[in-house]
Amino acid sequence: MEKRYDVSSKEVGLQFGLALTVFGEDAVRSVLRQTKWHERYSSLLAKLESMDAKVFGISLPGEVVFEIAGRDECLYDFYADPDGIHLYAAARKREWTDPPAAEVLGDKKISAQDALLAYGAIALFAAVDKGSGLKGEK
Amino acid sequence: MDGVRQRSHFVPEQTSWPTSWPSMVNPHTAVVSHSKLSSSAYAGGEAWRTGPNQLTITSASGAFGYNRDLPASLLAQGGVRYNAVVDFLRCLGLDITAVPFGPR
Repeated sequence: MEKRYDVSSKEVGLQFGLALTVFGEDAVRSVLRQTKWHERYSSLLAKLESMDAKVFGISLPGEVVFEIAGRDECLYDFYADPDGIHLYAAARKREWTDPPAAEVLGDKKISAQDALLAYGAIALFAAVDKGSGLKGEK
Repeated sequence: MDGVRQRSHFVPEQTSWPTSWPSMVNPHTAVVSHSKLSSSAYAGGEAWRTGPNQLTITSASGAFGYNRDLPASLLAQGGVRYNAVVDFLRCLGLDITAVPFGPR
């Protein structure tokens, strides 16, 4: 049976600008180009074509963000602290050969999709922006 | 903290800035990121004015703070740099409360 996820926008929805930072433009655009989303969210996706900076504040539906998080083009891997609260990000394409400290310190690598569901979308952004995200932070 | 000019730079977190870094509070706007404050920074984080002549600081910075993306050896070095920041600010006569180097 296919695994079911709660991808309500309340839990994992994320503004376009934040999604670009967390996942990278390649991952975001590759999903937004898909026909299925244009059929479902035509009005919203049309707005994202605008060059107006205000588009960065447009909220992407949870199911779209969830699919973006599963793309190979994503910029970051995510690591869960054993404390169950803190989430960390590590660049997928590394500039050095040493593993990230997260691996050395015993954090558990989790997929971006699992991180989204367990920690919430803002925690992923904070992990990138501030070095660590907190479970459920808004 | 700037290692060349030996200065500390402070800016309100939500300061509008011509970058692509979005504000978590208002994603319609782009805000300053730590990497834009100085090209020669060796440490970065957050600071609050918590009293007269008093600062509370943390190492929360994706660019220059406690970041487990770094190799473990560099992460440890970050703790030394953070302590140097504390010493520097105290030398300026500020009353510093330093949240221990680590995750938020």
